[in-house]
Amino acid sequence: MIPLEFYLLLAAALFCIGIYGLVTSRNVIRVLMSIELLLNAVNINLMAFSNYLDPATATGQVFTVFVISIAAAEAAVGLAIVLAIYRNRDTVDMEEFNLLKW
Amino acid sequence: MDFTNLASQLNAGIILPEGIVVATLLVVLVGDLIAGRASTRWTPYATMAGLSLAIVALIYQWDTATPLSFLGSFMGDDLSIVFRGIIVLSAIATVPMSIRYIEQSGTSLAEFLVIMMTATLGGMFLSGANDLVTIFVALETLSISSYLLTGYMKRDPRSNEAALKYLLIGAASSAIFLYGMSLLYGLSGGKMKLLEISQSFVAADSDAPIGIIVALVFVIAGIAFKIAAVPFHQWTPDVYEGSPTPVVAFLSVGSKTAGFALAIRLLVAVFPVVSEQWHFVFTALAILSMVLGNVVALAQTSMKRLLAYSSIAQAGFLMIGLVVGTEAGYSSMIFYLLIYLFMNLGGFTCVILFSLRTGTDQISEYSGLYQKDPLLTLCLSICLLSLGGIPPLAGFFGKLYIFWAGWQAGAYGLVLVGLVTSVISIYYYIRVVKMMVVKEPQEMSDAISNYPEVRWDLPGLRPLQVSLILAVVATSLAGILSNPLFTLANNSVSHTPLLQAAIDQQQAPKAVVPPVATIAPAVTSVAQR
Repeated sequence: MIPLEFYLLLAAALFCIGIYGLVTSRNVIRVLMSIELLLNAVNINLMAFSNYLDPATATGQVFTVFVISIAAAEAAVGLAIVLAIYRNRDTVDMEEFNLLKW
Repeated sequence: MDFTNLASQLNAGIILPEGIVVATLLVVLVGDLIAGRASTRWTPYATMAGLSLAIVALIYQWDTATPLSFLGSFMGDDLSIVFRGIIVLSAIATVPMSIRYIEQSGTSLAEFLVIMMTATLGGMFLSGANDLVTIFVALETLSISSYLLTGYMKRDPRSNEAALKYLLIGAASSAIFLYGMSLLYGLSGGKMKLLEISQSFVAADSDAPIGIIVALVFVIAGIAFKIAAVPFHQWTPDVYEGSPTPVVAFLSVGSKTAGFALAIRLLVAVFPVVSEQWHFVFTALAILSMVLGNVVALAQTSMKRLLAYSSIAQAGFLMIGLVVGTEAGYSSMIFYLLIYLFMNLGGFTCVILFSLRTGTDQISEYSGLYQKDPLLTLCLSICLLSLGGIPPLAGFFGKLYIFWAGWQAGAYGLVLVGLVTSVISIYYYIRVVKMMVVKEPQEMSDAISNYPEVRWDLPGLRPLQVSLILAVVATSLAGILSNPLFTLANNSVSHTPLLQAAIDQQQAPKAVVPPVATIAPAVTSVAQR
């Protein structure tokens, strides 16, 4: 049987890849995809913990279902906003969105 | 038989206020579908009526004997009732501001109200959420509807951009928060309820709970984003500047309150084992927020950005109450939130009224406003001075109580930083007031010289006038007649077993009692209640 650590390492690696993509991507769609990676890393974590520590009640697996459904809602809203901004500005490049300056 | 048994176990009556909000939401949504454009006449009033009904339901649940509902997933204790009340009040106050604003922009009002009520619902559930799944779902309900509200002016590129930035930063921070929650789930050996998690941490009794600290870091990142604490604040000025002003008013009070409710419940319930560490982190966040928020606000030229930085600074003041963790600390924080509700929403109502009449938010355009519109000048001045903490107004008493609580608990550094930065903050609030009042007629800005005749009989302005007057009256009188608010804040803390356990535990080290021995029974007794 594969030890629990392997799953946690996989999730941590996926999480780091997601963060890397979040920081470096210029295309908004890629940023949204990186966020999905982050959420999937969490899902792996939850599933692994649920299987190894809490196989009787499996609350972690239930949590995963919630995470997946909310990730879908978030992606839908995200894409809707991207669509609105694309209609107004004809671009999805993060660097171009500089009307509001900090 | 089984079903009735289960239904009685759920104790679903606790979420009656949320149920009322859901019902109102459906009435507005379906009513708008059936009546179409004509529905704008009654939907705002239906919304306000429904939300007020929710407040009445909350009042009836004060001191309920069995606050735990849905098998421990939702906690309707007095602390959550106060926070839910503040969130609903901020939603009620946002409705009259938005009627004219949304109509002038040519978008649908009913949809705006529905999304705003969904955000309110998320905030209310977040205030009482007692397990990880509920926290996450409530947080995302609040966040996703906030993104939609921010981008509501879909033909305005600035609103689009604000929504996109808010969505990307918000989604990333909630993913990080979620990673922290998954670690909590694992570290506690598969527990979801907050108190079970902390019990398992106490039972493990390890010296260097490095895993717990890692989880704490992730969780704090998520919370600090929600309350806009420096250095997790970068989204705030941009989102506040770009989004529709009524939304900003709601975000600055409702969403922030929900964030604080989450902070109190999660940190106090789950992390007593590492309480030194999280107090340290929040001390740093509070100092950074107060200093950076107040200093950067000095340089702002847009009124909405000014209020954004001011709200960051106010979050810093509020965090003092959280950090000191005494009974006075928590109740001063709730008291300040109640006062902040009135003064900040009053301020935003004035900004909305000004931008409705002139179409601008620039601070320089306010110069000479007194000549044309004395009432607006008076109201905005009162709200800004109260935010700055000038004595007879409510904000002064709020700050006084927070600083007093901090001083009593020995957080001298924090209080001193708070005092110095509130002096700085008075400067930029007064600057706006001075600009409005003392300018000579020839120095009037273009917007003021073309100022339209003051008329309150345009559709949608009458409710705005009423809410403005109410907010200003509350801001000026809440300080002097603060006793009911004060009692409310105190009672909500002293009637909440969760906070009482944490306060006892804070005092335990002083009495040289081994900490674990005192935490464990306290936490268990809370869990049993």
